[in-house]
Amino acid sequence: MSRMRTTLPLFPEEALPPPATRSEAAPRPQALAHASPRASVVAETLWLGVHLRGSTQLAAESGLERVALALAQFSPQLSLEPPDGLVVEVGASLRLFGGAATLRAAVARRLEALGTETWLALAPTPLAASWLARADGGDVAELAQLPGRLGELPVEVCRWPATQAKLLQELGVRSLADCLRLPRDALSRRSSPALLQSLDRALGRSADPRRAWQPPAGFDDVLALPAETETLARLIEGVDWLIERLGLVLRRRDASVHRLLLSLCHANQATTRVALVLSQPSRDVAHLQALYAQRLERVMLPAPVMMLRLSVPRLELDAAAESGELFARRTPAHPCAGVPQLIERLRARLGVSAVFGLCLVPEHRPENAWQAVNSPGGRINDAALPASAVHRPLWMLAEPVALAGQGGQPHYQGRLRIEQGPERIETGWWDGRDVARDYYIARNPPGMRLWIYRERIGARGWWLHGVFG
Amino acid sequence: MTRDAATPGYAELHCLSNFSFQRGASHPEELVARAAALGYAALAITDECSLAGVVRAHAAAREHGLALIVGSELHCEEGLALVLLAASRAGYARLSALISRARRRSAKGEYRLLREDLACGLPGCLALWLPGPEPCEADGRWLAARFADRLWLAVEMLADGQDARRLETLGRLGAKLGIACVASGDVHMHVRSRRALQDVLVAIGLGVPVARAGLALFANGERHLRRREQLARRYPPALLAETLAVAARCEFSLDELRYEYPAELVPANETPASQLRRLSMQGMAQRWPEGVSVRVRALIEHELALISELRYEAYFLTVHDIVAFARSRGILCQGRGSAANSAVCFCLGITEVDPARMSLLMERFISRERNEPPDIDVDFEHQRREEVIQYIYAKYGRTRAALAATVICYRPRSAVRDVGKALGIDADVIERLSGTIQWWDGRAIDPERVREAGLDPEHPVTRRLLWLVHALLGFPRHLSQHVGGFVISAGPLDELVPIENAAMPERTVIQWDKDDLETLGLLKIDVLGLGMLTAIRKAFDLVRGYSGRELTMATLPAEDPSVYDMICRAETIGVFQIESRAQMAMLPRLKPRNYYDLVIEVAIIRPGPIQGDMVHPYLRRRNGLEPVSYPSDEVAGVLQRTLGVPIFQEQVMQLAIVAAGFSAGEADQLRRAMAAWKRKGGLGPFEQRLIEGMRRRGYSQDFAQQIFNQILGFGEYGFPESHSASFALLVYVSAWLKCHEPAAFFCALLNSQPMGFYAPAQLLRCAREQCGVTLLAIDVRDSDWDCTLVAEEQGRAALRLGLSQVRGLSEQGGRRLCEARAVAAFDSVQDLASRARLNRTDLGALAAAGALRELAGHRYRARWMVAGVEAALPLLPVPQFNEADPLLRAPSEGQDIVADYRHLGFSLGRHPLALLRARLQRDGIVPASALGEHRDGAQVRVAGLVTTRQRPGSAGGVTFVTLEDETGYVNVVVWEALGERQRQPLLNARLLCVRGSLQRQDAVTHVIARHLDDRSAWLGALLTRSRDFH
Repeated sequence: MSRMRTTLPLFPEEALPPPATRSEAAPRPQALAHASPRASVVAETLWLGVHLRGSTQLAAESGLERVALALAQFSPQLSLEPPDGLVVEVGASLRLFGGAATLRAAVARRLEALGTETWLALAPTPLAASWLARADGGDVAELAQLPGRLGELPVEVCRWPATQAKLLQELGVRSLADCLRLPRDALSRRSSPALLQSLDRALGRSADPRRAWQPPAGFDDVLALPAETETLARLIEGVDWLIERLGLVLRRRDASVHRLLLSLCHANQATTRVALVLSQPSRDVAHLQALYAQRLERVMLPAPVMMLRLSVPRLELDAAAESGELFARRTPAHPCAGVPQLIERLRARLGVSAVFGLCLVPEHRPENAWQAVNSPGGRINDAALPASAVHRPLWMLAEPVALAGQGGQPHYQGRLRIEQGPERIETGWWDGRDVARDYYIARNPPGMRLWIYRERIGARGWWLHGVFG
Repeated sequence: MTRDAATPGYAELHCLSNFSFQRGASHPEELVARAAALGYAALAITDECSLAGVVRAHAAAREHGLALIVGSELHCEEGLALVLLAASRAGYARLSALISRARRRSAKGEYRLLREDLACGLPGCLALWLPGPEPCEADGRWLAARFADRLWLAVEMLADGQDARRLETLGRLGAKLGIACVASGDVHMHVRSRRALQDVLVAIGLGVPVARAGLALFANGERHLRRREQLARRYPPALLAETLAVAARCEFSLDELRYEYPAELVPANETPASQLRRLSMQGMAQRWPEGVSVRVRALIEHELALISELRYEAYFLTVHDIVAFARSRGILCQGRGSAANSAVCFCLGITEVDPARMSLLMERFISRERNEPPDIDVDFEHQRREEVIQYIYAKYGRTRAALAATVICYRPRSAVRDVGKALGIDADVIERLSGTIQWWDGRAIDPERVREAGLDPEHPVTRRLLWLVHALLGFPRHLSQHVGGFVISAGPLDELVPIENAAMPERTVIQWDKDDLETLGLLKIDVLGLGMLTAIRKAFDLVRGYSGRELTMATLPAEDPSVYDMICRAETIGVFQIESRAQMAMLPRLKPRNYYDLVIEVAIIRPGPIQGDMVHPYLRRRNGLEPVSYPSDEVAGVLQRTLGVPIFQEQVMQLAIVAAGFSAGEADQLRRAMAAWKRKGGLGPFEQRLIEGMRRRGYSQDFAQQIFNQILGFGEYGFPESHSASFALLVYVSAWLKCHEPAAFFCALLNSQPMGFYAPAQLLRCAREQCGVTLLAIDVRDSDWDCTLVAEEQGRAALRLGLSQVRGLSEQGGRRLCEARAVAAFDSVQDLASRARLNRTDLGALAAAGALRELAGHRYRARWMVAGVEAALPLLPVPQFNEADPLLRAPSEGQDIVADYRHLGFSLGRHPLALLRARLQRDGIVPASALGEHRDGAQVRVAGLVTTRQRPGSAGGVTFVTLEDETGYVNVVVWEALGERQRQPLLNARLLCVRGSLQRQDAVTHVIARHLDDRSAWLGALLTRSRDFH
């Protein structure tokens, strides 16, 4: 890495190399220059194996990548051993840190700060370091010590494929020493060449070239709140801050975002996740902040929040130019381009609930037979119409109106004359709003055609539910 | 059934029961009862392409005095829908055949009806055309041309807002086509309040929550049996009157169905009676070569006369024919059931129970009054039952023989799952609730249990769920095949009852279950599979093979005291029926000394007698601790053979007859009510009649109440003496084999697995340690596929384990190995692999199981050799490798035992606990063999592999655990409270340590657990599997 520094700030986006230099492979200091004096085909290197123990909350949430990001400061030559380990070439940085012990301690501190429980091991080859770390088998300084020290490890640390592992188990091979004792060709014929290859790599008998890990092309940041809170304003403040950090990265990398995920972590509850998918990629911090503020209003929190985390899996590099107009001009190339923005903007200004679409719902209860939908612009589904839909009024009252009745006869601007019916609707018990009504089409003296019903239970009152055009 | 003269009469002609699965929301019985209460003139049950519910409806209609019409709603593929009603027996036959045709075209549970199926016009059937929302005039014309004056146009007024228009349209259409209109109700439920359940059924059928079922649900609850006043408001009087006219033309009743027995079994010059007599006499001569006693002779004559009188000859001939077939193929079989243990059946070879040994009276089982067919179940060797089934199909053809159905009904677990899904309740919550059905005790719901499952019992959703689950319980879900109940008829069976496809290919089932068949008096023969018969036949073969001695069930030495000695010591692992823990605990107390004791032993350790508290009184009387007394001579006659304690189902029925004055028919009703009262209730009327009857005959109130309580306890678990008698014979035969031919016995058991109560590990241990059988390890040089016997000195036999015990070895591979070995012995692993053409999996399995020991050395070396085997290419020699000897360490004893258990399921080496003994001793744990040194009530610690866990329904939540160590078995009793507190170790431990107190009674020792410790980790990778029974 061109900007090797002894310390790195905590925020991952600053740990990323700037876009312009990202493609340049960092030169590996000394690696190739130092040929081993022995017959070994690998250079004299020193690797630190890191094994993440158990799955702490953090490990499960952010996985290996976060640890890798944190350790990237120690060496650019870092390679992941998923799902729970990684190896870092530290030979080059030893002098920088003042020796193996200091470096080991520094790494340990760094990992502890992340809340990760780990085992560490130093070894001359990456595979040996990884295997030793998995078994907490201590450090090995010299290549020559490797056969003896690795021999003590159980074969399980190698995580060979199940068929190989099963074969070794059935051969009574428990330790790597048992394995190394077997005749090489004969073992190769019985197992797979890969097994011997990995042994050779671990022992430094063959090269183990590794591609250096690249930090992800996304954004991921956390904000621990000073105190647990459920207050919306506090949460919005935190989210605003995270989005500003995101904005920084977006500007630096000339990128936009399309999908965001906000995680609200609670002490003893599953994390609340609030995903946001934009209709089009954006890098407008204020816009994103406003959208999230609206979303948060509707989120039900099971418990107070102790930490916020904002992650963007992928940054979009071809950002569209932002415009501040409410009604964006439609360009011939994108005739509908303005509609989603219009909806987003209308919602941002009027509130989300003020803008909605309509669709028909296949339901017998008239008040449930239509529904507001979140994504406007869909088409009406004809199949959703009941067979008798011809007798449904276009204008349905939001709430039925009780009709005055005289002598059991309903009145609405005069006495109603029933023209058709009854249509009996009794259903809906499953959501606690069971209805039992007899619907009629009736006409009043002024000539209005009305859709009325009589309750079949309770007061048996008459109600007006709709008006025919 | 008084009918209000003012309201017009009505017959419902279109009504679905819950046998129209996922549609109808009422039981047929409920519909009938409701229709009768509403004063309907008749009710048609017209399930969709099904007659599965009509027999129940028929029985209910008989009870309520309602006219029942048999019919079916049918939908053609081409869109035509109609209801067909059977007007005559001929019409019924055509309807049944039509349903069969449509069902047989489709997979299980579906049907395909084509218009051409209706082209004949089904004479004898009446048709109601269901015109749908848009009546197709052409359809009407087509139907009218075929059904003529037997066709009506169904007018269904269901308050969908279109009733007036519909009435007018259909009236005009009917007039135009010359089809009369008739009212009908498209009934889906007996009362409106089943509306929610009906919605749920529809949603279950669609696989969506009710809230998303949308317009697939009905808009209202009109599809119920409506009051006649309501109907009078909805329909013009003429349409209602027409229903009566249609109903009047339906003269058919299911009572007309007469079963005709297959005729081909009677030769041309014989009658069924003469043929049966001839065969009986032949059999008699074989059974009693030295001549028959006067008593037996009289018995046979009496039975033959009774059979003739009731015209059951053909039934006995049919069973005889099937049994004779099995005999001709060397398939062991044995009949049991009410008529099986008769002298005639003994003569016919249907059973081996010698009537001279029993005082069974045929009349007890075939009653003149009941007029129901005799019941004979025949058990066949389980591995060869299919041959018998295929024989029946071949002999009578698929049109004349089919299996009875079993109606699969909603149980608490399935009901919770389906209703939960329909209500859109979270899958996890449903799983939690259905996983622990403890909240369901059969009747009421314990809110505390519901809360434990994480649901608020007061929450509306929960209440809805529980209410619906309650209503859904007992609803039929689908028809499955009965385990072996065959119906065989003289003519085409599908004219008697519809036949449909079962899930199993090439299997067909009729639409009625065994209760339906019984209701209509139709004959059924149960062709069942029984593992012990397989084992006994194999043991006979093995004995003949190594010693030349010929054994049969009939000629085995009877009443051998050494056999009973062994049984009294409870050394009965592997023995039929009496090998369970409860049976073994009873044997030293009951001390059976003769065949009839075994009959009692088999029947007494059943939930019925246990819950009816008959076990201890019987034991006390048998051991002379309590005087045997009878309140009257009649009762003594019934109960003498069981020392005054009713143990068999037959005794309860007889008591009702002699002490309470029931007729034989009433006693039979009582038997049926007993079988069902826990599910349905309904013993109430019997209670009063029983107690009053007994009081009137001078029995004390106490005695009467005690008898009734015993009947209650019996419930559905009462075991008939007629079955017990047949089972007891198999008990004796298997015990005799274990006692005198243990090597053959265990060899046969191993070759008949899976069966019985114990896994091979326990059987082998018992064989070696209790019976002194020499066990020879699996060895590719000697082992056959099956276990075999090897003659030893002194006429004894050793048991060579077969390759079939090797887990993961394919049968084809194993058999090829034996064939290749027969050509020449193997000289190396490579030789074996190439000549037997074994694949890597098979070779690996052999090596891992230690079967290559003599060819390749210890397991690890064997595995190494096997892994180095090269596949032979055609025409090329196997490549030879000169390899260095691998430096593999030999497995330790523990590792070998672990591998044995993993790859064989047992070990011939030391018991795993022997290896742990030092460690166990440090913890103060005593071996099973040392328990005898401790006094009753002592505090002890025991440990062992968990071999069985049993939680019998009759034991009130107690779990019985059997622990096995290197010295024997320990029986542990875990009370419910401890079991709940320590659920994890109880259910999951493979090595269980128990602290508790010793309890000893009549040589039976238990440890009553106080604390459980799961020590499975000590076993390392040892795989042991417990057999868990409920």
